[in-house]
Amino acid sequence: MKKLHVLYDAQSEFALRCYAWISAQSVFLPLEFVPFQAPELIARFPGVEKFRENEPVLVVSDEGAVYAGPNAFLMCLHALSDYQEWAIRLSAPALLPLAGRAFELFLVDGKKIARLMEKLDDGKLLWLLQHQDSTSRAGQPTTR
Amino acid sequence: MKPLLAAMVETEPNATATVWTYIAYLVISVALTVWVARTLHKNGRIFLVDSFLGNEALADSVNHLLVVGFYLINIGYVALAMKYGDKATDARTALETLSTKVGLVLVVLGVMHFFNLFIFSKMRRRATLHRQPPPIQPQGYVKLT
Repeated sequence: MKKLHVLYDAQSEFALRCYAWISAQSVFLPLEFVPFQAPELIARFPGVEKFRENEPVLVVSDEGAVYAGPNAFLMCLHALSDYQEWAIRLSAPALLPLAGRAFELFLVDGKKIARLMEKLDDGKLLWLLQHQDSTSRAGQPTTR
Repeated sequence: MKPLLAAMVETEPNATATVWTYIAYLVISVALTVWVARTLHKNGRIFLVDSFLGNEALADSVNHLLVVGFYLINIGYVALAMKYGDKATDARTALETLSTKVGLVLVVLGVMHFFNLFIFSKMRRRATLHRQPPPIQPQGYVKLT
């Protein structure tokens, strides 16, 4: 895996915030951002429509692997130098459905929030993420 | 030139003892710095190559730059610290002063060494992490064109 394509809904305010936040981070896997509205989307990623549904963000690897829902947020974290360890931690089965909520918290102030969350054990982190008011679809614990 | 100890035990030794202490201090400190720098340069290479994901050219370059920085800081410290501390009045105080000064240089070298190790182990941890595959499976595949 040498590169990730981050497909995002340019009409969703939340997706645009994600886009802005991710592009301000340092990455170790190169990321290419492609809006869902881009005319070449279907030609470049044939068959990606069926994963789209209401997703604000989808991640497609350079090998064609598609990550949707919480997995998409997890893959975004995986590509960021400062958050790769968070991707590993949030990939635990109990935490994975809430990866989007953790991502939403990082959007507010990633460094500070990550430092606070690091101190919590998995049980407390799970509780925190379950009780966080979610404003976007990223917060819905999707089951796929 | 008289031998070091002979110079230290002369009857009017103050100035001479101090000068000899300084000379011994400079020689020992610089020799130690050179020895530590060479050891680090030689043995640190393999560690750096791994930290830089096998990029040998980059590792060699960083290794070399680090040695330059190491020399600058240590020889700078040795030069600056020369005039501080008790002045030698006889052979005993000369040796005491010398050992205090050399001891301080050794501690500075040690602190620098562990600081370097700390930074590199952090870098290496990152590099090892970056080689890991993603922690989750994809939901499906598309054929990229």
